[in-house]
Amino acid sequence: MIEMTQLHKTYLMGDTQVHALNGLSLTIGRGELVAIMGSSGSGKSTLLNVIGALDSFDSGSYRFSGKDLHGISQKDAALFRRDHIGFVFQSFHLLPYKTALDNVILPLKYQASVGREERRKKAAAMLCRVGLHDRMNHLPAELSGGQQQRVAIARALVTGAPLLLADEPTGALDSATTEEIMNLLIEINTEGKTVVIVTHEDEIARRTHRIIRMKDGVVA
Amino acid sequence: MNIGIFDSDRWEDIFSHMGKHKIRTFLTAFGVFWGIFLLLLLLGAGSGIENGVFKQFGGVAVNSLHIWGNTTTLPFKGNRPGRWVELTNEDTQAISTLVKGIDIVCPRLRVWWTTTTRYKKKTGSFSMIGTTEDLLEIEPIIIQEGRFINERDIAQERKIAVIGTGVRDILFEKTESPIGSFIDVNGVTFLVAGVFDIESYGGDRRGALETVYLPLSTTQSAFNLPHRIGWYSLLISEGFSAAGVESAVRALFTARHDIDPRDTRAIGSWDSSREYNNLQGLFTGIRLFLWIVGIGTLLAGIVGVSNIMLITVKERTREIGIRKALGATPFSIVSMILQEAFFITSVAGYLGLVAGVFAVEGAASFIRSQPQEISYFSEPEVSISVALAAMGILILSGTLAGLFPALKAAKIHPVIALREE
Ligand SMILES: Nc1ncnc2c1ncn2[C@@H]1O[C@H](COP(=O)(O)OP(=O)(O)O)[C@@H](O)[C@H]1O
Ligand SMILES: [Mg+2]
Repeated sequence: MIEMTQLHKTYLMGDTQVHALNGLSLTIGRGELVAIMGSSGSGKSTLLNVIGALDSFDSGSYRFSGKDLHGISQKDAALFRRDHIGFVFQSFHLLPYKTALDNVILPLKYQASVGREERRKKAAAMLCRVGLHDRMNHLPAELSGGQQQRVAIARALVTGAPLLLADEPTGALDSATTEEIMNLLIEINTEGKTVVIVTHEDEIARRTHRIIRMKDGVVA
Repeated sequence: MNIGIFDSDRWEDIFSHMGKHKIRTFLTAFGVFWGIFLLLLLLGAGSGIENGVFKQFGGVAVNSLHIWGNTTTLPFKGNRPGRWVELTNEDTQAISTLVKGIDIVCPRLRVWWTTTTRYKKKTGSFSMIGTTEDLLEIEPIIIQEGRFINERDIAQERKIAVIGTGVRDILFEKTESPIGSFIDVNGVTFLVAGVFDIESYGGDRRGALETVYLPLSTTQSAFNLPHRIGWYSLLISEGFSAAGVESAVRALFTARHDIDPRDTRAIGSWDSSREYNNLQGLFTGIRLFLWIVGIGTLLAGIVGVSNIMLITVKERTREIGIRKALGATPFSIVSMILQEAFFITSVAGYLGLVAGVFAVEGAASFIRSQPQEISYFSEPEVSISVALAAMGILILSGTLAGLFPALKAAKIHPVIALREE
C-alpha cells in the first residue's frame, strides 16, 4: 500500500536545516498494524504527515497503491486525504462547538454525494461502533478524554478510508483508557483497515504486527 | 462535493459558529447596518434639501424669463435719471412681433396701492393682478371652480374676477360657492368667475392665494392705468436660450424707452432657467459629496467586517487545520469564509436598507403632516435606483470583506495548525 524510497524532508529553522526525513525508505502492506517508535524529534510525526499527504516532501518517491504523490497540488492532497486517510491525533482535535455526532458528520460533508440523512445514519452507526451510542449529542467538553478519542476515531473511520494514521493517540490518556483505545484500534485493524500508530509506549507497540524504529529521520 | 451555498449543513456550520460569537457577529453586522443606514439617510436628506430648494421656484415654469421696468440711473437724450420706465401694451406688441424665441408673452399688471374688497358684510385686502389666459402656462395655477380669464374677457373688458382660495375663505362662508357672486373692489363691481388654488409653492403661498386675477384690459380701465403693463413673463421656445431672449428684449426696451444702453439697472429681469441650472449644478455636486461620504461610512463598516473576519480566521486556525485534514480543499475553505462574510453583510445591509428607507419615509410623512412648511426642506426620498445601487455596493462589499480573510484561511498549513503545543 505504501512504498517510500529515499524520502527527504528538510525544515529551515532560522539558518539551520533540520533533516526531519533523511533518505527514509519503507513499505507498509494493506491490512498491517504497524507501530512507529523512536525518540522525540526523530521524525515520526513528519513521516505520518507525509504518509497522509498532510505535508509535502522534498525528494524521493512515495507511492500509495501505485499512485505517485510527489508534488501533488493542495487540492489533490485534500482529495487524497478525503478518500484514503483517517487521522487520529494526540489531543483529539474535535471541534469544540459541535456535538459528538456533528463532529463525526463533518468529514462526510466533504465527501461526494452523501445525502444529509445518510450522513447522520453513518455517523450515528459509527459512534455506536466505538461504544458512544448514549453520548451522541454531547459536546466534547462534556466527554472524558477516552470518549473524546473514541469520537475522533469514529470521525476517522466514518468515510470508509482504508488507512488510519494515529499520532500518539493515547499520549494524553491514563493507562486503563489507553488499554481500551488500543483494543479498539486492534479491532479496527482486524476488520480490515491498515493502521499505523506512532507511540512511545512499549505496551502498545508490542501488540502490533511490526515495529518501525526511527532515528534521525531514517528507519533505524 | 457538498460545498454549494444551498447546502443546509453549510448553513448549520455558519449559524452554529455565529451563535458561538453572538456579540462579535452583532457588532460586525451593526457596522454594515449603520453604514448602509447612514448612506440612505444622507441621500434622503440631500434629496429633501434639493426638493425644498426647487420648491422655492413655486412651480413657476423653469424655462421662463421675467422682465420689468425700474427707474433709470443714467441721464439720456435730455431725460434725467430717476425716471420710471413705464411699459405699455405697445411693448407687448413689440415683443411679440420683434423678438424671436418666445412661445408665450404673458403681461401682468399689479395694482400697487391698497384696495379693499367687499362681499356682503366681509372685507379683505388682496393683491389685484391684471393678466391674460397665458398665465396658466407660467404659474402652477389649478382652477378649483368655474374658469380662468379668457380672450373674450380681455376683448370685452369684462368685469370678472378669478379669486384665490385664500380670498374665498376670507369673504365667503364655507357652505356657499363664490361663483356668480358679485364682489366690490374699491367701488367697482366684479363677477366671480372662478376660484383657483396653486400646486406646490415654496414661496409666499398664503400671499399667492390671497390674490384676485382680473382681465388685463379691465384692470387698466377700472383702476385708471391706461395701456400700462407691470411686468412680462416670457416662455422661451425649445432651442432658444433665455439669456439670448433676455438681451433681445432688453435692447428693445432700451431703444423704445430712451434708456442709456449702459443703464442695465433700468430694466429688471429674473431668468428662472439660469437659477435652475445653477442649482442643478450645485446639487449634482452635493449629491456626489453625499455619495462619497456615505460610501466612506459603508467602507468603514466593511473594513470592520474584514478585520473581524481576520480575527475569526486566526482563532479558527485549528478548526481550519482539522477541516483540511478531513479533506477540505482550499476552495471549500474559501467559500466557507466568504459565505459567512457575505451572509452577515447581506442580512445586516438589507436591514440597514429597510431601516434607512423607513426612516426617510417617516421623515417625509412627518414633514407632510406639519401645517407649516419647512423652508428649504421637503419630501426627502430614496429612489428605487438609489436603493438598488446601495444593494449592489452591499453585495460587492460583502464579497470584498470576506475575500482577504478567506484567502488567508485557505493558506493555513494543516500541520502547523494542528501541531501539539
Ligand atoms: N514546522 C517545522 N519547522 C521546523 N522544524 C520542524 C518542523 N516540524 C518538525 N520540525 C523538526 O523536525 C524534526 C522531526 O520532528 P517530528 O517529526 O515532529 O518528530 P517526532 O514526532 O518524532 O517527535 C524535529 O527536529 C523538529 O524540530
Ligand atoms: Mg511527534
